[in-house]
Amino acid sequence: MIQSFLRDVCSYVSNKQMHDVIRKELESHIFELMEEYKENGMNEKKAEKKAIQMMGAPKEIGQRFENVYAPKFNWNWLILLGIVCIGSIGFLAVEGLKDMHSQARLDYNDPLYFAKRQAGKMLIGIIVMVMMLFLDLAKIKKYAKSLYICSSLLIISLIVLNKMDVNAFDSYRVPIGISYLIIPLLVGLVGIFTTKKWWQCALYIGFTYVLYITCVREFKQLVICAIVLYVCVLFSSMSLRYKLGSFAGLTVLNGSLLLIMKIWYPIYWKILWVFLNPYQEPDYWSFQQILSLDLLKHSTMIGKGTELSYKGNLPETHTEFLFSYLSHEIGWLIPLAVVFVFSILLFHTVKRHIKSSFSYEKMISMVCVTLLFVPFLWNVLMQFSLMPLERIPMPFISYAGLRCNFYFILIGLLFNLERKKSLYKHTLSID
Amino acid sequence: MKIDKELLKGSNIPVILQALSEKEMYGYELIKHIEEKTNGIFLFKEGTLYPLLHKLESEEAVVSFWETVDGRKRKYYKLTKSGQKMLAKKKKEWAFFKGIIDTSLGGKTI
Repeated sequence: MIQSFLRDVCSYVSNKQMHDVIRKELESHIFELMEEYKENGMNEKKAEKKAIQMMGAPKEIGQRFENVYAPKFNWNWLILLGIVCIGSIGFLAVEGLKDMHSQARLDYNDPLYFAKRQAGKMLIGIIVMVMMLFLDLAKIKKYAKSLYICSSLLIISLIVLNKMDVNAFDSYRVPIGISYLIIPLLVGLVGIFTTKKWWQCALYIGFTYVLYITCVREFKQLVICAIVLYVCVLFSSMSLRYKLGSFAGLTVLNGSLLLIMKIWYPIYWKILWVFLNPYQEPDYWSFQQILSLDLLKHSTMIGKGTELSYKGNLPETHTEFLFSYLSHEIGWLIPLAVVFVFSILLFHTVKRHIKSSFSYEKMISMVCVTLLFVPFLWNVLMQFSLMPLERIPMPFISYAGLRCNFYFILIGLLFNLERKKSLYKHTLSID
Repeated sequence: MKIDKELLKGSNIPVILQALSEKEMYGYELIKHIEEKTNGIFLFKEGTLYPLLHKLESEEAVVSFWETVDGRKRKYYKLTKSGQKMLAKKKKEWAFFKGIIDTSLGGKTI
């Protein structure tokens, strides 16, 4: 009788993982009630019947639980994503149509080539994002170590298969797969962080760092990796002493890496700092940043129209310099507003998850936010010549390539955390 | 005196929060405690207490943990800092609301 009551309640709760938690708790309450009635002289059967009666209608209880555990959705992000999708496709279409010498026309014989590609990639991205919503991060946490080992082995094998020249800082040679494998690698690392002792965490951080340095020889990736590792340590549940120790260790590693770069790759070192004074080498390393600065300087609030596009020798519109193009053509107000909205959304995401008492949830969300925000900020600042010039595309938009999916995966993970927040609260606390 | 169910609905949360602010409790204990405090006026349908507790938990007003007492597993609930804030807010709201109802029904305001 008790079991059929509990089954009845649970039949209204769509989230099957919660059934066990709900069942245990209600069952324990029924037993307490029965105990009370039996002490008052009732027999077992009567007590059981009365206890269940006291619980109330299973439908009502079940539906109330369902209201608590029904997955929730963050509409703000979805609306912004929609605007970005439609806006970028429209922009690329206009650009492709108006420019008679565009790469789309010349190389692909189709002025709408990039717009179409963007539409296709966005569609795939959204499908990938929806797939992320169904992941159970609490379950993944249990296999964190295997996940971490598998992804690092895959990264190493990709490097070996690609026969990469590990002595060159060359962004063209990093296989795209590695960028993707970084997500499971970090999710695994975060899982390890929440279950293992501090010195094991330190070992894993060290290994991740070495893996990055040997496999991903891109300056921007190394910077992003370093920031992510700092973030991991900052939001982990380590005690302050170990946190400070890890910070110091990471800083020594980063510092020595910079030093190595300065000694062994002096040219790269020079290029790196050219952004501080782009006019020093106007013809060579910093001409793109100078052009971009020019565009920004000549832009007005509402723009000069797409007809009057001034391009000079800047790369095409579908590349990194989107912010300067948009500022010039439709005015700086709209791109600035998008930057502002994106930052606010990220800030709110941080605020929501930072309070979480589970360092796993906190760390995953912070890692995702970092991986989204750093390239975004870098891309924008780079166009103002405030960051070194790197091949660092604007998230979601630039190149309309596979990179786009990377960001959709991150957004999907953030959505997942948000949607299943109340669920994770139980499944994570069970461990 | 029997009180209209609708009237009780909105006051569930503050009553639960207040009870938990006194000490951490498990569901059955909580119901008994509230019944006692309110002279039996506040009779929950026992099952409906749990969705409320879970909702409070998802809002981080309370945290829960299982503990075995006398060989019986019980899920205890404890008020968090943000739960205390919520309680203070609810109390304020209630005082304000009470004042307005008292005036509108012609009674004395306190």
